[in-house]
Order: sequence, then structure tokens, then C-alpha cells
Amino acid sequence: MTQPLLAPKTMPVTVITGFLGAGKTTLLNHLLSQPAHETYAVIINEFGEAGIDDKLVATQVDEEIFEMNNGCICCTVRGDLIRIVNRLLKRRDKFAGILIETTGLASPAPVAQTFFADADVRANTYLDSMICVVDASQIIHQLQDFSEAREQVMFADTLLLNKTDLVTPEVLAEIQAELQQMNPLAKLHVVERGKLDWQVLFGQKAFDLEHILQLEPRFLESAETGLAHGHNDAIRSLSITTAKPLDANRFDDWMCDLLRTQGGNLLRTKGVLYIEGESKRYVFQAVHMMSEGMFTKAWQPEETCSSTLVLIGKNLDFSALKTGFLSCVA
Amino acid sequence: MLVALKPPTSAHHVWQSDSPINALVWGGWEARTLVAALGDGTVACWRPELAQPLMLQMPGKVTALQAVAVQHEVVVSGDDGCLQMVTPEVEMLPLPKLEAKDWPEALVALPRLRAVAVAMGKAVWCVFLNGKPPELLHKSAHTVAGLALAPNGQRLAVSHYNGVTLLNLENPKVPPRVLEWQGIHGVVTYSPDGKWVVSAMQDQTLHLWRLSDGYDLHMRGYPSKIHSVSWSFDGGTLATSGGVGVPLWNFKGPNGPAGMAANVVGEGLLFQEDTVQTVAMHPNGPFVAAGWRQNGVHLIDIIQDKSVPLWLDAMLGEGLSVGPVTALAWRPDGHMLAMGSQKASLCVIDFKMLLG
Repeated sequence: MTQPLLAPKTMPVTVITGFLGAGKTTLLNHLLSQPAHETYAVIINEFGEAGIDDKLVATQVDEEIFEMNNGCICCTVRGDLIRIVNRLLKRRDKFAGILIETTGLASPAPVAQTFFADADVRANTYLDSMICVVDASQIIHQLQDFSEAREQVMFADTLLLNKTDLVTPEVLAEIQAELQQMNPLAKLHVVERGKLDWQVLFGQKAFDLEHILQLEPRFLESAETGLAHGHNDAIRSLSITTAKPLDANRFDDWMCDLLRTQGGNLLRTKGVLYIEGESKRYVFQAVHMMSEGMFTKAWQPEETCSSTLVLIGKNLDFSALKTGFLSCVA
Repeated sequence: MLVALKPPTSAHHVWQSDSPINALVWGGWEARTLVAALGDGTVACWRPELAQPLMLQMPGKVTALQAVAVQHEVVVSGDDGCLQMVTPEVEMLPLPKLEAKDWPEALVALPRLRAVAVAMGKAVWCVFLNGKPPELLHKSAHTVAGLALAPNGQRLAVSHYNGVTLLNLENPKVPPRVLEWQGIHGVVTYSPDGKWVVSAMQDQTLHLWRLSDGYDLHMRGYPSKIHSVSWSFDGGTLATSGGVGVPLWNFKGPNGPAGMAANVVGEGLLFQEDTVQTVAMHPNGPFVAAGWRQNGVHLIDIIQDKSVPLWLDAMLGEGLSVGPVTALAWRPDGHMLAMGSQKASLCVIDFKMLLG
């Protein structure tokens, strides 16, 4: 993998997910009728009544989910996304970004994995952020009843809490706490009366893992969080931190083995690592079995070097994961 | 708009536009007219006797995606599904429009039928140049990615997810033959002897089938995706893009390249890491033109593995860059090579004049 996801000078892509009825289409249509300052390519499910700004190039296609030929059924990509990126390169327009809306029942994994698994998509775009629109009045039962709804929350970098006027402040606080527990990595925004700003959608670099380090210290300390509703596939997240430098080879071996054997259960893995003998931080991320890592910024003198790994997934053996990670200490 | 730039020699013709050159093809009488399809919906037509190309316009200025020659005519496809025919007199005439929300993903000439086959979404259409209503040739379970006509004109290879389907154009009642291989298939080609079908896959591999018995081969090791394939003039060698040089696969024996590594030519030509995006074998000599993903074109002698740069930033002048090479087209007599890039540069080299 030569081309990093965060390659400069490529087009940022923002993916909008959200369960059926969460209000994605209404939010998007509202947004699309606003004047845009730059040209964006927009890939959406349905167009609303309102006219679309001239600067927005909208496309409608059928989602096509393809399995990768590597014997792993969790490794899937979106064929339509690959085609769209290649087609956009043929147009005159220079796009400031691409916005993709997924259908309500879609798992976000294939979209995210396309950015790891397709050479053309990697070379020309990067995943800027994955935004999940949440219907505050429905989310609790959706999380209980639908694995798609759980995955959409777990995959998100930003959670947009919509329809908050339909719930009491107490319920809203409960929902916010639950969502943050499920996905400590996501930023939470409350949508005010259906208003959405382009700034929320682009330039987030939310998939950029640097912000893990800027998370509230409590996230880094929290050993484990979970959501257990009596389901076998309860999704939980685990965050492990160590101040000791890691051995690069040992981490590589452990992570390769972990993703190979448990990639199906691991939805998202993100880490910012302090590697022995390296002046730069190593940033790592994975979606199921697909992963990538690269050295980014140098550690600054005023910073405390440390490694943090966050895993979000099903049926995770927390103590084995912790032991495994800490065995990578140099 | 194409603006003529000062050429480095009188054998060069160089133009700059502001949108990508998506396809290049030689058509018209004796294939002397170069037709270029551009991202802004311009179709540029040029012959050596013209100082400036004649500019045609796609209706609605939709992006011109592909261009193929059908005898003397050239058919250009638009992003919205429209098809336009460029006549040898350099006039643009509309062909019946295909109504679909998808766009043409592949276009191939069907000379015997005086038609083109167009892949739009899951459908493959036959669109006739004489204005007869289009016929649906095939409806696939998945989006069609590539099309290739068999050398005898009787079969059409259709690539898609999990395989390649071979349609019988002579007798549409014969059920299609399906060549299965899991994964996402893209560019597809028949060997010039009609014995092999080769498909380039999304996972940076190449899959080969021998049609006589269904024997198949899978070729790995490409650092990037293969978007372009080209057969040598004698039909015995297949060149592909996707490598740090140009891999040449040997199809001279009955087992094709089974058990043989590709002979890679043109490796180490560039200092920076780059892969080949577009290849075009010379129509009657042992040469291949290789267009890079990041920048420029080299001409490689495939026997001696010697190369010369053909197209460089220096030929364009201050501040301009060739950029990713999207299209290469040899004139069928081999005297001229047309080159187009994503950064909107177009260049034609007249080798007969260059070499005296």
C-alpha cells in the first residue's frame, strides 16, 4: 500500500449514513439548496423537490456491494463508488469534495473498505469523515433491533443528533451518554432545526487519527466501555494506552494475526503509536481486516509520547487484547 | 477549446485545453482523422493538413467519455448516455439516445453490424449507425465494466462482477457462455487469434481463459490497477498497464504464458515511483508506447528494452505539466502517435517526419 488514505491534493470524501427515517434526505436536500462556495460531487439516493445549486453535480446510482476475492466475506467494497470516482476524473469540473449518501439499511463497512481496497479510489480521494445522522426519538430501539443501526453509529466519526425536539432533555442526555459510550471516537453534534452546514461535512479530517490524541483524557483512561442489551453481538469498544515505546515488528505481527483471525468481529481499529527509535508518531487504522499505517507528525518536545489503541467490535476478549497489545512494548 | 503550443520540432503538434482528454481514436477516410473526446464535451477533429483542429460539441456539453471508430465513422459517447457519430466529413450526427440513469461504461465497435455495443449499467445495447432502433443485447446481473469483440466479430465478451460472459452475436438464441472467476472484472480483451480472453481485475490482477477448454490462469504482482491492454502487431504478446514498467505476456505457445514470468520492459525509467497507466503497441513494429500515471510518455523497443521519452513537461512550456496519460492512439499505418492527458494536453508526433 503505497498511497496513504490521507494523501494531500486528493479529493476529500464525506459519507453520510443513518438509519431509515433518521432525516438524512431532508437534511441533505436542505443543504443542497444552499449556495455552495465550491463545486462538489454529490451522490445521493433521491432528489428532493427543491432545486439543486449549480455548483453541485448530483448523481444517483444503485449501491453495488462486491466481495473481495480474498476468501473473507467481511471484505466487501462498493463497486458503484469505484466507478464514480473514475468517472469524476473525466469531467471538466475540479471538485472540492465528494459527498456520498448511503441507504438507511446499508452497513457502512463496504464504503469505508473501498478506501482501503481500491487502488484508484486511494490514489484520487481520501475519506475525510463518516457522518451518521441519528433520530433521537428512535435510536434506542433501532440500536436494539438492527445491527445496521449499531454499525452506523460505531463507524461514524461524527454523530449528528437529529429530531431532538421529539424527546425530553433527560432522554436526550441519556442518548448522548449511550452514543458516546458506544463510540468514544465520534464527535457529537446536535442538529438545530434541520440546519446543516457545509463546514460540518468537509474538512473534518475526522478519519485522520490525530484527534485521538486530543480526545478527552477520560477516553484514554477508560479501560473499557460497552453496550450490552442482552445481544450476543453486543458491540463494545476498548481503549488501551501505554507510555512505553512499542516494538514495531512485534506490533505488526500481533496486529496482522489479530486482524486475520478476528477481523470479522472488529469493526474499527484506530491507533496512534509511539514506536521505539522513531521520532514520528505511527498512525494506524483498520476496517475489519483491511488496515493501513503510516508515520505522520514528529512528537514535539512538550508532548508526552504514548501509544493509544482503540478497538470497536463484537465479542472482544478484552483481557486477551490488552495482554496482546502490552506484549508489543519494546 | 484547444490552444496550439509551440512544438519542439516540426514533427510535433501540441495543444492545451482545460479539461481532460478522455479518448483518442483515428477515423475518417483511410483513418487519417484524429478524434479526441474531452471532458467539457468538446470533440476535436484533426488531420495533418489542418493547422487547428475542427471543434465539435456534444449536445448539452456533456462530458465525452469514449470514442471508437466504426469503419469511416467515429462514435463518441456522452456522460448522459447520448451517442454522437462523427462522419468522415467531420459533421456530428446524433444516434438514438439510450435512456438510463447510468452512464456508458464501455463502448466497442461492431463493424460487421455497422453498429456499436454500449454498456450502460447492467445492460449491453447495440446501437446502429443507420438509425435503426437500438437492440438490447444482454442484461447482466451486475453492472457491466468492459466489452471486447472477438476477432471474427461473432462473439462479444462482457465483463462484470464474478466473471466474463461471451455473447453469441451471430445467433442470439444460443445461451451465452459464462467464464467464472470471483472478483470485480474490468477491462477485457480477446487475443488476436481468438483463442484467449483476458480480463483485468479490480484487485490488481489479470485473469486469462483459454477458450478451447476453459483452462485458466491468474496473474498477480501488479502494483496498481490495469486500465489498459494492447496486443503486439503479430498477436503473440500482450502488453498491460499497471506495472512500474510494461509487462509483456507471451501468448505464442498453446499454453499462453503458463509457467512464465512476464518480460518487463521499460523499468527504472523514472526516478520517482510511478506506474504505467496507458499502453499502446505499435501497429506494425516491436514498440510499445507507455503513458505514466503521474507524468509523460516513453516509447520502448520491446526487443532490446531501450526507451526514449516522447512527451515531457519541457515540451509544453512554463508552468504546464503533461500529467496522467489517459489515452494513446497509433494511427493504423503506424506513422503517427496521438497522446492525451488528464491535465488536458494533447500531442501528436509524426514519426515519418521525425525520423526523416
